Amino acid sequence: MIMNVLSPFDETVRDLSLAQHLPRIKKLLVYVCTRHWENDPAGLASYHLHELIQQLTLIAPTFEKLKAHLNSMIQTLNKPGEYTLVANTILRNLQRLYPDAVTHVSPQYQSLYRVAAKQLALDEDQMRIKKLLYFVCRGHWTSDLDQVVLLELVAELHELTPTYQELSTIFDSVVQNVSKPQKYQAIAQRIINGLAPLYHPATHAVIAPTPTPAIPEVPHATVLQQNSGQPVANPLDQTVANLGAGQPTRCHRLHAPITPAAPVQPPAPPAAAKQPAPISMRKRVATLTMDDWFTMRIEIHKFTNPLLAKYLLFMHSYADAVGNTHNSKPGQWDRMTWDALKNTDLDTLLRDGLKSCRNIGEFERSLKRTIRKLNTPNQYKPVISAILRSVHPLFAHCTGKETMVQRVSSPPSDLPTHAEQRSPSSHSSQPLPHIPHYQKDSDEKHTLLENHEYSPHLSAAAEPSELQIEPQSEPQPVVVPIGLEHTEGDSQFENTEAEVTEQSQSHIPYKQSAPDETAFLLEQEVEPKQQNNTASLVAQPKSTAHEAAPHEANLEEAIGIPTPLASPGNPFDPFGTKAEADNPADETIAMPMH
Amino acid sequence: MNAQELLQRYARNEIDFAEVNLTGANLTGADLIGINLTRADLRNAQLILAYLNRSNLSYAHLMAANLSGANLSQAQLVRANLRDVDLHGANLQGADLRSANLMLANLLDANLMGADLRNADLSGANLTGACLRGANFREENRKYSANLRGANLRKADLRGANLRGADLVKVDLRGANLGEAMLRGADLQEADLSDANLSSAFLTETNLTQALLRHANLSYAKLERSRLPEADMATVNLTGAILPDANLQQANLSWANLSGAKLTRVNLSRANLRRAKLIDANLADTYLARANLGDADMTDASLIRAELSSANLSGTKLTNAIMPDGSIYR
Repeated sequence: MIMNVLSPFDETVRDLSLAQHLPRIKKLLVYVCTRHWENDPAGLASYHLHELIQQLTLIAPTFEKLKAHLNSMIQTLNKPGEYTLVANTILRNLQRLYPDAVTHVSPQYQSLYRVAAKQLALDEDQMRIKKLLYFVCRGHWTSDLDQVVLLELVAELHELTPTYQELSTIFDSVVQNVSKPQKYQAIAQRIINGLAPLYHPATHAVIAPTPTPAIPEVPHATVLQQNSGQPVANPLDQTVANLGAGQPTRCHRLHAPITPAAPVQPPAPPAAAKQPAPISMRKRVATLTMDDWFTMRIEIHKFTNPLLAKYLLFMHSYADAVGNTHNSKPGQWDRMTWDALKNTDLDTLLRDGLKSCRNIGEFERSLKRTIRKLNTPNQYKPVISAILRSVHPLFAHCTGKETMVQRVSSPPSDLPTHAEQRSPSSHSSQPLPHIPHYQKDSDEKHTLLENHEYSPHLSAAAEPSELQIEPQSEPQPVVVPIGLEHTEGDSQFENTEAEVTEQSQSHIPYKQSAPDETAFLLEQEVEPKQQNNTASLVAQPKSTAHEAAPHEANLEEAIGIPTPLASPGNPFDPFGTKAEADNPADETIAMPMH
Repeated sequence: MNAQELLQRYARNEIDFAEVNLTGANLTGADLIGINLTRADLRNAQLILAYLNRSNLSYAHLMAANLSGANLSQAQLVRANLRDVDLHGANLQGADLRSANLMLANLLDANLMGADLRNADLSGANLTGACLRGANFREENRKYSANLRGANLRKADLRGANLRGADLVKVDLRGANLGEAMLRGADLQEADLSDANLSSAFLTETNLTQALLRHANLSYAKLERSRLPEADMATVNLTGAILPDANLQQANLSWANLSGAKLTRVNLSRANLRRAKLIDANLADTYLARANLGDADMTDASLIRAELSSANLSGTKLTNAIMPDGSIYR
């Protein structure tokens, strides 16, 4: 029998051709080789993988150059995070063609990897950490987390994201596209914090072998101690000290696969960390770049009629000003409405709409409420979908200020919904003649709502809160991010999640009575994401648990002993739902594929 | 012919209505996909939110027609008269508008992605917030170029658009997105590009005389041989930009960031570079007669053979800079 032995080049081509996101891989390869972005499937098909790879090896004769080239090209894309994942797949497959690909990890960094991995392993959410790390490194999800070695993932991630900026970008992008962005934002932040010592200074790569790196552990450790309220023997400090003294550390004995361990307080975010916690929508609007607005606008242009989008956003903010006799049939609006639309651009209307809501769920409900009041609601439904699709990537992680304390202290019936806040009596709209006209010389950041007094609730939402790191407390109707697809393996978790939700909901007395929302929910799809609420309710006690947990544990033992993430009898889980709600294997995670 | 007759005949699968007279007809929301209205008279017609996808309106007279929100994706509008037409929020994606007359047209928030606008006349048109990604305004020859004189392109999205040789004199492009746009040889005299994004744009041989570029992003833009005399470029970001042989006489570059920029043989005479960042910039053979470099940061810059004799260097940081004589400043 004749065995066909493939050359490394052919193997690379074969492996890439079997990769999960082949169209994206090809798009990126075409772009880096030709500087031309090919979206047309037929056009893409005309490029052959072997030609592209050959071309790429000519452009980048060394692995370092390949990484640098890919990274620089990705930075010019609209979705650098997503394409960093694609680039990682390419790099992983192409490294066999580069003899210099695997020789740059210094012993010092091996040691730091061990320490970082150990620290992550001590996190009570280490299963989610593993899950997220695995996805970022390998480009797909796995449920077989026990076989995953955290140390390898840490080293791999450090190689794939040579700068702190890239590390932040990739996690930002990934968490925006999972079904539980709030939860995974916090997880991502802990990973970023855990790996922060590998990146010094924060924006430059530190892969190359160097003398004992000056790692910012001291402030890091100080923050850690301050947060936990008790002295902690930071393993990183030990490692750094040992590196300096040339002494072996306890970490050097680490070789077994890392398994769940006792919880410790996650380290506080370093000053350089990007978006440490979910923020309010209003605050997020203020931080958007010009590019963000262009991106949202182009998505609206792509998927709906811009005029109808403007009208809907206008009605969303100024319905009361228009009055009850208004004919809302498309194109048959009154003169005043037409004038208002002509004097205001889409950006301004979108900004007003976004700023008036606390999170994307509320924005969606508010838009749907708006069209229910119109003569022809069905004609506007696709418009809502397009608007949500455009804003989702940038606002998925936004949450209102509503804290657990507020939730617990206020009975559900007293809790005003945003719909009530936007009721005619408190609506922020004003008569049309007062709507400032679009002026050539006006500040573009000035919005139609800018001159309004916000209700105290909304104003407060803009204030920073430590508790914003918690998953949002409000029910969210969007279980799958709009316009995003499930990845393989997601479906197997969906049923589980739905079941858990039903069980969990029975423990939340006020959940069932959300007054203004109920009617709306009836006509909506199932909302399994409500289980987030259970997580949010237990999230705060978690930090108490961290503080109570022993920090000074035998690290070798800690990483070797599997510990359940939470037990039903957890005293910090008042509703007894934490175990179900927090099981990372039950989570659906979706990534976009274009 | 009136609107009702047209709709009835269209419902019977008739699509050829070339040269019909539909002046002032009300066709709001009408579904006329694929209709042939070549040379039709549609002046003052109401076509609000009409579906005219893939229709043929070449040579049609649409002066002062209302096409707000109309869908004209992939429509043929070659040499159509669209003067003073209302295309507010209309979809013209992939439309062929070659040589169309769009003077004073309202294209606010219109979608013109991938539209062919070669030789179109858009002078005085309102394109505020319009999406023009990948639109083609390319000059074919001296006489066949798009005219955007006095147009309002504020916050327009022109990323990757081809504006080679386009007439953009005095155009309002504030806050516009021109990233990676092709503007080679374009005339941007006195254009207002404040806050615009021109990163990685191709501006070779453009005329930007007296243009306003305050706080614009021109990082990694290509500006070889471009003319920028008296341009106001205060606080502009020119990081990594390529400007050999550009003319920046009397330009205001105070507080600008020119780190890593390639400025070989650039004429910077009388330019104001006060507090500008020129770290690691290549200023070989530059002409800096009476340029103001007060408090500028020129660390690691190369000034080899530069004419610096009459420049103001008070407070200039020159650490490790290569001086005109080849010595390294310590």
